[in-house]
Amino acid sequence: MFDLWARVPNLAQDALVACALFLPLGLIATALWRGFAPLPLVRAMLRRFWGTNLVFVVLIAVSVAMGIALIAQERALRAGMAQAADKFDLVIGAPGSQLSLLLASVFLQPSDVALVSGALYDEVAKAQNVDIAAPLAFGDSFEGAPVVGTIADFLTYLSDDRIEGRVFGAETEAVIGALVPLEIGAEFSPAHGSVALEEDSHAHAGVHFEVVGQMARTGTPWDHAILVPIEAVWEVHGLANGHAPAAAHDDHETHAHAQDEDHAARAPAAHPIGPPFDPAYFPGTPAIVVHTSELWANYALKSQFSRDGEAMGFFPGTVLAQLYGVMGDLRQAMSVMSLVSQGLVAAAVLSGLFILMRLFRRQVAMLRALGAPNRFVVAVIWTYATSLLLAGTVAGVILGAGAAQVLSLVVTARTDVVVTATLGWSEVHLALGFLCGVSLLALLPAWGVLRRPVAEGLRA
Amino acid sequence: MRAAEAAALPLDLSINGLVMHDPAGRVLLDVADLSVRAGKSLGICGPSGAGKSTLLHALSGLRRATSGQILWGEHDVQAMTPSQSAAFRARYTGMIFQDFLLFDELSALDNAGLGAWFRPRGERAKPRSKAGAILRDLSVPQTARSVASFSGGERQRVGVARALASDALILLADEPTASLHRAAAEKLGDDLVALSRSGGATLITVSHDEALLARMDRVIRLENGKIVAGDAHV
Repeated sequence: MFDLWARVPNLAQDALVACALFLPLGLIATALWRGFAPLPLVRAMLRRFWGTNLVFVVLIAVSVAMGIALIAQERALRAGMAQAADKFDLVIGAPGSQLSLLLASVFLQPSDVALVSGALYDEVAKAQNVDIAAPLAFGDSFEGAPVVGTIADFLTYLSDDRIEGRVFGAETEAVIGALVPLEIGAEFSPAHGSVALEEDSHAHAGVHFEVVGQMARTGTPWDHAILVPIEAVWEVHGLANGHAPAAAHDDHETHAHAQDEDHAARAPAAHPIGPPFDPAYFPGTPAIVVHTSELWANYALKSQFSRDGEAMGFFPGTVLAQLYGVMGDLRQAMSVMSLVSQGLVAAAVLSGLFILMRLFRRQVAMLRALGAPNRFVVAVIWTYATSLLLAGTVAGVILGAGAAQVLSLVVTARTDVVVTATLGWSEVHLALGFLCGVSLLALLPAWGVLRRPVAEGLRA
Repeated sequence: MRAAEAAALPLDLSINGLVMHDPAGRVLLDVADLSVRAGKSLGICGPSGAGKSTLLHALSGLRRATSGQILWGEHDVQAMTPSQSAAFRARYTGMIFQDFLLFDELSALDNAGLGAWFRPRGERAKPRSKAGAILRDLSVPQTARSVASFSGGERQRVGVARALASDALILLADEPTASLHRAAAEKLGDDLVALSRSGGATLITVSHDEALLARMDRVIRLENGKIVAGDAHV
């Protein structure tokens, strides 16, 4: 049976679950309505206490919306984070916290991480099947946008070659993310430090970059980043630039830089940039983002570069999955809380229905006095209650979708990870489950009405 | 006797040894013998709390007697199950209430033809058209507007139309003129008696309205649940 179910396509499974949740509703309606026409009276009841009915609908809608918005948002956040890590198949860094390195490299969050040596970088860059081995350098920023040093190939890879203008070709050139408030041709001077460490930041006076390109939107924190040649970041911090002095075009200028301790006062030198780097002049990098020509090669490289005390290779996607796993309990707790809150609302709605039935007591007694069969009376009351539930659920789904969109905008603005919440089958199932469950319970007030003496109802 | 044969018989009312107590054991009704021939009208008067409405509810099967029989022809309403009792009311009786008990949000026709909605689709047209005809006879405006805007007299005439729309052979009216001004009460009394007679229905009316009671074939007076005046047989 399980095997058979497993063979059903996912879409069909979701649709079948939705149908199964809706089925009891359809069966009850069919059984109650057969041979009767309860709708005119239901419409009359809905119009009778429309204000109270509206409060019911709003109460139900808010409850359903909360559940739906939470579920949709949580799923969208996971999808957004996975999307952000999509280009980061394998990251190699110094041994330590994978999470810290993940936050630093994928999400550009300031983290205190150790550096890997030039020799290791060289080994990675020359390893079989490695297409791109991009070193990263952090530490500077411009008006809140992190300035990240890397290589041109990584830009092309990160943006899928969707770059307006061109990639940087000299140390004084920069490529900006899609959301950086600069234009091509603009110049800027970075400040040392990040947004989070603003009090420590100071300007690299005299260091200027010209924006020569802008990446298309990636939906990741890199949209807010400014990417410059890694040599420039090293040099403005008084480090070697990754290349042997002989390789530099302007040996005199490079030599002068090496002598000058006030690195902030100097502009980066103009010479060939990018790999290959000379291990002897490689100042170190906190992370190497590796892209391979073959998927399987990632596993081999991870194994090859996971060495005690020297290097740590990891898959950001796996770390995120582990993180979700750790947070799974929290998610489950949230789901349970959402269900409990909906259960409480269901109980409140049910109590409200019992109270409403008292308001309709004389009308119901009159129907029974006129000889209306019990099934007709139940059909009228159940359809009335289910109409409120249906209206509230539909409104809740719409409201929930809207709330999830707003939450997505807030989360996107706060994390730079593009989060797009859309309605999925989980939300449809939640809404249908709520509707079905409470509409089944709505038979109770209908049954309760039948237990009351008609004569008393007529005098009520 | 088969149901079809029983249905064809005239629904004479016959009460034998009817006793009804409240939960505290106090006697609410004690009617040893009362009969009304089909098509006749009976007025019931008496002070408040005398048991008039209780008798009316017992006649329709809405209240259970402690003992005794209420026969409408061959139908003993006190021996019926609740669903049998409901079916009997739907088939044979029409009820008129002091404060009309209409659905204010519905039109006059929808209120008068309300009984059609709990009949199978094929049987709905007849009571609806009859309701319309009775409303015309009673000069009730048949517009789409709801009865909430109707006068008291118009609303009660809608109530009368509702009671008669399903070809009721028994009309049970509880203070039908109590909420109306004099002129409206007079007109309603005339209409009620005329329509019940023309339809051959037995009319039993609980009322304090002397003018309405004067239109009945017979009037009995109840006090403390017992008939203290009036002819018990008509």
